[in-house]
Amino acid sequence: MLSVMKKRLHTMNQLIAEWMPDGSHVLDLGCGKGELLKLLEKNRNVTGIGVEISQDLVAECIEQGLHVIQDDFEKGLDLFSQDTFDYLVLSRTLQETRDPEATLRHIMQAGKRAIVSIDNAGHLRKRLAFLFGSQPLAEGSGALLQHQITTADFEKLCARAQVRIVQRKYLTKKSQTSFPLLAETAVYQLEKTT
Amino acid sequence: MADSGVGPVETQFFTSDKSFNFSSGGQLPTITLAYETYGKLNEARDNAILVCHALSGHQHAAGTRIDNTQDIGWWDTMIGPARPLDTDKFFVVSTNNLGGCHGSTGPSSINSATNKRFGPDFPKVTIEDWVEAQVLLADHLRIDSFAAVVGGSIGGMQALSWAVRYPLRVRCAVIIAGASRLTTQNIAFNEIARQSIMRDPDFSDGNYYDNRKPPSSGLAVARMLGHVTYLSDDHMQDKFGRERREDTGIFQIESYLRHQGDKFSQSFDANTYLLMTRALDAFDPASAYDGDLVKALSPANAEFLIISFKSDWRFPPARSRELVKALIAARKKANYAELNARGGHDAFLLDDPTYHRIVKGFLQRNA
Repeated sequence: MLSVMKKRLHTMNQLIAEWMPDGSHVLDLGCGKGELLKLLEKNRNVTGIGVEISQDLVAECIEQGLHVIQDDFEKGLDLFSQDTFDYLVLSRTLQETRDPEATLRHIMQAGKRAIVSIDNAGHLRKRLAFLFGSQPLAEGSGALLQHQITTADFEKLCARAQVRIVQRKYLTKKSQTSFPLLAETAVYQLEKTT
Repeated sequence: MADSGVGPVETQFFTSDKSFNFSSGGQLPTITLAYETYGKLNEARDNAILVCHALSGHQHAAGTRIDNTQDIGWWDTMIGPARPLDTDKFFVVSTNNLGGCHGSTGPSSINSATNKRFGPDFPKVTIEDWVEAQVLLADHLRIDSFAAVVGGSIGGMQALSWAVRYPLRVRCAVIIAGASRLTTQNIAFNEIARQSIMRDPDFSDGNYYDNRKPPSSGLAVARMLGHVTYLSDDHMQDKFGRERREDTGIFQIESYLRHQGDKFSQSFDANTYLLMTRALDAFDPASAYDGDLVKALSPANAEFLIISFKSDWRFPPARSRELVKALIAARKKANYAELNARGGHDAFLLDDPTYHRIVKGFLQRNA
């Protein structure tokens, strides 16, 4: 199970790396252990800064030689207000924020473009599970998620936050799909409209 | 000590062969710096780490003293084989700052011009002067660039000064529980400490060296005040609570503060305390740039690690965040950790596992 999850994460990170122009200045919000940042630095020659709230994950990033800032970005991106980023990345983090819409709004103030991925709560399997009484849980830990976001929810969220969706890709466990119903994860490239 | 890290260490002395010009305009024909080293300087002479001490610190940062195996260095948990400042890999240099009272030239040293102690006539020192004095030592040791300059509290400010003044001589800067300048409140605490010393009848305007006794009660009270601000409320509560001593009936915290104050006043020079706190108050690298910290930081070339502790209210995370924000705006390579360790300002001296892991990881990867 874990290796499938790892593989999918890898596929998703590869996709984000494909979308990322070489040499971009990137802010990875909720960077975790820094897998994506590492990939982007290696394959895309980006200058990246990770933001992570957990001091243990910050320690892991530093041990890997990644640039990381310990901060709660849900309280704002004040530390970065004088920097401009080519891309903001919010990978599988949005559903864990207290207020996804507010988060989306304020991260789009720190950069013109963003790449956001969500675990799709609208996957067929999750819909069936819900029908039988259990909501989708966080992968790996099995904990309750702050929010259940489907691809449809996310697109509405973007419209409300005045963010344009430039590109979208749906990922299954192994590859891509054009059906949201089969998407475990959805990855979006976003742009500010105003 | 079973795990004394670097083991017995002897303080060494470096005396400059030319005159030293203080940024205040004062001048001394020669200066001496007391220093210790741990580990081995490699052939390329590029594995040196400079440690900058805090207000009351000195050169004895690690190991034990040759003549006193009980006297363990103030940062011994940080420095040694396999410790964050790993002496298997790095050559660590620790000095006593200029103006100090542990072997470096300071107010209690003899002024060769008068054959008396400098006392209050010692030139005003700044953090920049400390850096310049350390540059002389680095030249003497033939260290062109430091793998890292590391410091906590005022020592962190000194590391910052190094990174800005000598961009090509500092590859990494580790600034722990520091700030880019003191707040009004922080200066206020320093002023109370100074007043406590200066209002001691034994102070004699700083010319107390030939008196019956130095202003030790003033210095002790200054230290007690400092101590309270270096600890967090929670930490103090846990450590002392409302417990009383069985013998005297006084609160444990009273006993602790009196002991710390007395111990300090017997080993520290009051004039040095005044000098050092004034250097701390005055530090403000942005002031030369109309208060623009981003501009002030722009010469720096180092990779930065900034660490603050949530329980520190003397140098709270907000001060470190100002620095981090300016570093990011100046597009410097900055890392920041805001740790949960409960020790207050003094947490930088303690051995919180995540804290040590971060310093170690950073130095292993970048220094």
